[in-house]
Amino acid sequence: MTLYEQIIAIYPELADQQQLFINGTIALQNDSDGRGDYIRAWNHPTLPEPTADQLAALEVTP
Amino acid sequence: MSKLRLTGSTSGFTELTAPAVAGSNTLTLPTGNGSSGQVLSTNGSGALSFVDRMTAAGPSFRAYASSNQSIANGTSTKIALNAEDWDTASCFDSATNYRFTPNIAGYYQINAAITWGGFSGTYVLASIYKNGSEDARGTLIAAIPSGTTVVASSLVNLNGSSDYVELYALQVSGTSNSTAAFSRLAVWMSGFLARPA
Repeated sequence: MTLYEQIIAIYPELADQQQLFINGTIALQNDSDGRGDYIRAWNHPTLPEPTADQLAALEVTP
Repeated sequence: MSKLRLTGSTSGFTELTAPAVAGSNTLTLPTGNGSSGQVLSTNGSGALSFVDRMTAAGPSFRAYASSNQSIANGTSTKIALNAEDWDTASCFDSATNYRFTPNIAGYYQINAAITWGGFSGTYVLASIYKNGSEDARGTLIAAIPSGTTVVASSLVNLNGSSDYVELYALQVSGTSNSTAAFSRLAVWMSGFLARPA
């Protein structure tokens, strides 16, 4: 499960708001350094950034 | 007298003319003839000398991805530009960090393109990053057809020591997808010094 898929699992309503991942509201990044995906910026006005525990509860596929 | 006229041995002349309000200026020519391509320069006090003409002979590179790369949905991902056409000053790292770190300060023209593999997505994007942050966003296309190429181009001010640029890709299609890979044509970035700082 990618980081994007984890976030959608936590907030299913974001699946219909793909533009948020383009316009910088939610910025996911991968620097191709072997460390995998990470949340570079989270500026959603109502949904809080997922916690490490929330993400850790879901499988991650870098 | 406001003019100095040098008459040709056969015909015609070359004339040096002082401004109408001339002030009090003395220009002293250098000794010797200089070298090919040199120009006259003043020291601010009227002493002229031959100097090399400034040229933008700075670093230049063109790098590309030799294989395709999976990009997770909605995730800006650095493109692994792991092959080079040229790298004149060894400023491009195609082994580890896939970045251009020029050794001369100035304004660099950076161009890039990303061709996507066979999928149809909602958005695809190419961005030029400076020092890890998005600096210039290129083409953003919605509802792309399969095999679309997006481009990015920008003039980037780099300090000649620690500043660097990288190429990032972003796609939103609902699932992971790959960039295309068909030799050096598909996914690449190039740059050159346009003007020293």
